[in-house]
Amino acid sequence: MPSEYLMIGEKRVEIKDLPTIPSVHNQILKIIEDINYSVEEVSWLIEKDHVLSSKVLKLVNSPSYGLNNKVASVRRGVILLGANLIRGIILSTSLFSSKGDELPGMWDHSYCTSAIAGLLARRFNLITIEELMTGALLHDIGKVLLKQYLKDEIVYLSDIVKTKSMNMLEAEKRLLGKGHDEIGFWLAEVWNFPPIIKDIIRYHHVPSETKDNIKAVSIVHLADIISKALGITYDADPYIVPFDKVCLEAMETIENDLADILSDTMNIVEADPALQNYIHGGCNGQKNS
Amino acid sequence: MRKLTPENITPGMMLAVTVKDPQGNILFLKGIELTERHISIMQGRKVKNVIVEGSADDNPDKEKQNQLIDLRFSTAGSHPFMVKLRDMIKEFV
Ligand SMILES: [Fe+2]
Ligand SMILES: [Fe+2]
Repeated sequence: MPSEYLMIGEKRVEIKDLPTIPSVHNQILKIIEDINYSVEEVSWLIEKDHVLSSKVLKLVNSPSYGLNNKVASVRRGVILLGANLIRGIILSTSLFSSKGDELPGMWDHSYCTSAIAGLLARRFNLITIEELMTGALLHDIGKVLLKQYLKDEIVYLSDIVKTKSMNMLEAEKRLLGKGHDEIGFWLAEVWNFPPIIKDIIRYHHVPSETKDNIKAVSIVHLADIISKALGITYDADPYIVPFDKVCLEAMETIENDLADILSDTMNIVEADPALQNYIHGGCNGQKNS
Repeated sequence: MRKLTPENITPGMMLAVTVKDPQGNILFLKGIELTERHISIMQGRKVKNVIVEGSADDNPDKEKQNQLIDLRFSTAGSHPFMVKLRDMIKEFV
C-alpha cells in the first residue's frame, strides 16, 4: 500500500489532491478496467475526442507495430493496442496537458520513447510489448506532480540545470531529496499500475537497481536516452542522465544492432512532423497535441 | 556513414544499413551496391532515409548540430557505448 501522502521537498502532496482526470477520460478508464470491456463502447467514446483518436492511430501506425497496412479505424486501433496502452494514452493525454499546466514537449518525448522501446522490444523478442510501451509512455509521469505542486521550485531547478550544466534528475534530488522517478513510482502505486510499469517508472534511470523486469526497464532506459539524444525532450533540460551499463547486459547484441536501431528510429521521427521539428529546429517548446 | 534521401543517392553508393519501407518491411540488405533500379524502388515505396557508406560533407549547419549533440551527451558519462551512440547520432540526423 502506498503512503497517504508524499513529501517532495517541503511540500506535502496528499492522495486526495492528486490531479483530476476529465470525466470522459475517466469514463473510458472505468470501462477498460473490466477485462470484458466492449470495444464498441470504448471506440465510440474515443472517437468523440479527436486528440485521443489521433494518438491511438499514431501509435498503432508507428513502425514499432510493424503493420503492413495503415490502420484508419479507431476501433481497430483499440483492438490492436489493448487496454493497457489505451489506459496509457488516456492518462498521458489528461495528465501532461491539464489546463494551464501544460508540459510542453512531454507527450512528444513520451511517445517517441514508447515507439523506440517498441522497436527494441521486438528486436529482443520481449513478449510483454504492450505493457512495456505503456510504461515507456508513462515513464516520466512524476514530472506531472512537480509541475503541479512545486511551481517555484521548478523555476529554480531549471536555473540550476542551465547554470551548472547538471542534468534535471540530479538537480531534483539535490533540491527536493527525490527525483521524478521516485515521485512517479508513488503515483504508480496509488493508481495500482501493473508491476512491470511500476518498475519502468521507478528504475528507468537506474536499471541496475531493479529486481524484476530488468530487460524491460533497460529497454526504456535506452529508448529514453535515444529520444533525448535526438533532442526530443522537454523542460529546458538537454542533458542525458548518466548511462547505466547494466542495460547492455540485458540486451546482449545491441552494439552490433545500433545502426539498424537508429535507422528504424529515424523512420519513426520522419513519419511525424512534430518530432521532426525537434531534430531540425532543436526546439523543445512545442505544444502538446 | 551518412544519411541521404533516395533522391540524393547516386548509383554505386554502398548501402550501410538495411533499408526498410515506412511499414518496416525489409527492401534491401546492407552491403549491396545501389543501382538506379534500387533508387526507383525506394522512391516508389516512399523510403525517406537511406544510410550509405562514406562520410558526410562538411557544412556549417552540421557543425552546429554536432555541438548540440555533444552538449546533450556531456552528462552521459564516458562509457564506450555512449561514445559510439553519440557519434552515430551525429551521422543519422
Ligand atoms: Fe526520466
Ligand atoms: Fe524521459
